[in-house]
Amino acid sequence: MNETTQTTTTETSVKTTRWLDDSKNVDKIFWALIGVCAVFIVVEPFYHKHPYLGFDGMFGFFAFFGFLAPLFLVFFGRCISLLLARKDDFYDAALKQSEDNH
Amino acid sequence: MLWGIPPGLLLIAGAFVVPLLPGAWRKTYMTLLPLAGLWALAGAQPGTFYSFNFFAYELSPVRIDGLSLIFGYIFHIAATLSVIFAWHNEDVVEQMAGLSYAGAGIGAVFAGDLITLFIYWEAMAITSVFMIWARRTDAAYNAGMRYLIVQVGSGVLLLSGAILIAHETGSVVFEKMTLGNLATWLILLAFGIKCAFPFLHNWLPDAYPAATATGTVFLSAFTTKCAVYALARGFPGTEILIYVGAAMAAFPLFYALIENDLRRVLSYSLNNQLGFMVVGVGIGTTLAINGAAAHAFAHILYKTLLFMAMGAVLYRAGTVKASELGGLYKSMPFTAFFCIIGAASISTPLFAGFVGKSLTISATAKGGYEIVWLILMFASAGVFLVSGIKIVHSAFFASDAGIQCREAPPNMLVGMGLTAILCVAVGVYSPWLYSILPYDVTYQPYTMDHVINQLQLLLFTALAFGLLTRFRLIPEAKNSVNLDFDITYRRWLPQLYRWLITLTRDGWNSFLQDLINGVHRVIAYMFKHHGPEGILARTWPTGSMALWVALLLGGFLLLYYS
Repeated sequence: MNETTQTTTTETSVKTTRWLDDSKNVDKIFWALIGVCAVFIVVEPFYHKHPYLGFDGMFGFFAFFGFLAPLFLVFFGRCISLLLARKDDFYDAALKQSEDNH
Repeated sequence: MLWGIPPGLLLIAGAFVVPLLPGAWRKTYMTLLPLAGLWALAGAQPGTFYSFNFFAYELSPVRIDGLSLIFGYIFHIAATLSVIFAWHNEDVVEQMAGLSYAGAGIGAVFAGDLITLFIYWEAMAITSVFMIWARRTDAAYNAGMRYLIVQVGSGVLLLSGAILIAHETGSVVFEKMTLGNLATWLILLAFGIKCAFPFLHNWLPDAYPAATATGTVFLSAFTTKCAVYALARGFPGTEILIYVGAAMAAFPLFYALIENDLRRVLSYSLNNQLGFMVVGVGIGTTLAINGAAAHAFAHILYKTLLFMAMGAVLYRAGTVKASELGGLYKSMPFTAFFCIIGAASISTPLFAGFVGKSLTISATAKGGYEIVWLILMFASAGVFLVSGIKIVHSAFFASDAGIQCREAPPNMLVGMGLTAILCVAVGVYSPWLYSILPYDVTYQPYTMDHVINQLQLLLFTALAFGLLTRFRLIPEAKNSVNLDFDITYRRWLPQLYRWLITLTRDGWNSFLQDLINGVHRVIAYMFKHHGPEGILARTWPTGSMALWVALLLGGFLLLYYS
């Protein structure tokens, strides 16, 4: 067995507050991300594109696509979760039932 | 070839020496063996070797050309990295299985005929299952058994197809095939199972998360990429594969998004990446086949790195459930760093995935497959979200779950570090990877528009993730089984079987009961009439008989004289 060797260390390492523990700093990262995204929209007119398919040459196509893809993914992911999620002993219960029958 | 030993067989034969060696010698030997194989391969000349006649058929166990070499190189590299990552592991069965599994994978990509391919194909199945069983839990045993049945089944289909082809053509050479008869469909199905085509894919997210922390690292590299190689060799330009690949690239992402077990998330995203390669094989142009091979090369590196990081988390924290993890960057900063490199390597410029994947996406665009291109773009954004951001965020940065553990052992860190270096090296210096592709290539991934567009795609995906997280719209990680196609053979078929058994048993019993009841009724009826009290058993008085005779006589006389 080479698994599950949960090892505890000294308490001191846990008590230290890290930069990321402050939610204000997480906000800073988020706003920085918005800033970088804005820069990547602003540069749109300033480089030459080689669209293969036509529509991929539209203004900010990749940015909009990148933004919409996760929304689509999350929406349908949630639908699938609602329809298809079962308790995590779903198959074990079936197995147990079949063993009981024999 | 090293000492005249065919590639692959070196590792398989070498694995039998493993139990004879003590401690550190054994580990050193295991690390050097795939490196020796790689060194031998570097000097190998193209051609067919060791051909011999087997009954009426010519077998060619070793065929070296551009397509087999790139897979051969990366398989040796992956074997070396995986052995280093598993250096601390003392389980000799797993050590032997790991080496011989890698050897079988290498042997398969150099197989020049279908019979040799079949032998290595089955060897891969049989050796790899020990990585799952080495976990030594009931769940792993059952998952391993399901895995083995599917994998061996794939081999049986391959052999059936090979026999039919041998019967039809008189040759078992493994070369390009055209779909059209039963034999080729059987072989495509066999490859499709190992390549985790939609509806044939369930063995992958079922078995890989069940293996040991180190075993999954081995498993992630060989089986599926060997199938990609086999498709690229046997079915390049088969149009149906474009659409199969597009479906594969998209649908596993939804499962990856809602899955709690992070190694299962990676398994689903592995399935999604195979989709890109299958699209490349389906398009079949030299650019697209180069794309599939380059992507397979890069993919093995970054997926190995991500599975290593999750393996290290499993080893130290004891779980890879997203719902139980978070804030691990404090305890495991190096692992977190390497995991971020792995996540970035999926498709960020300057990392391996970008250099590998771009070829396939360009080939799709040049071929004019708009819808497929859009699906691949969605899949690129989606996989960055689930396999990159979700993995890194859930394990290392989400709200602190309070797990205090040590950093991964040094050998794991060295394994991850070397893999990370390769991910960056391949990404930064693209000519190196492009020089070992099957066909000559003049492709420049680092053009201004390509880099900016890719960064736009990824940054806005990250932005959408940030917003979704802020509004708590990302599906909450929770323990659940998300029903997939395996419900057919894990639930419905057994239920149908039990139902049929019950039906047959009850039906037979009730038939017998009806038969017995029927016989009883007949006997009772007979008894009623013929029994001691029955009407037919009564003694008849002589007077009544004389009366009846007189009546009959009277009737006769009347008829006679009328």
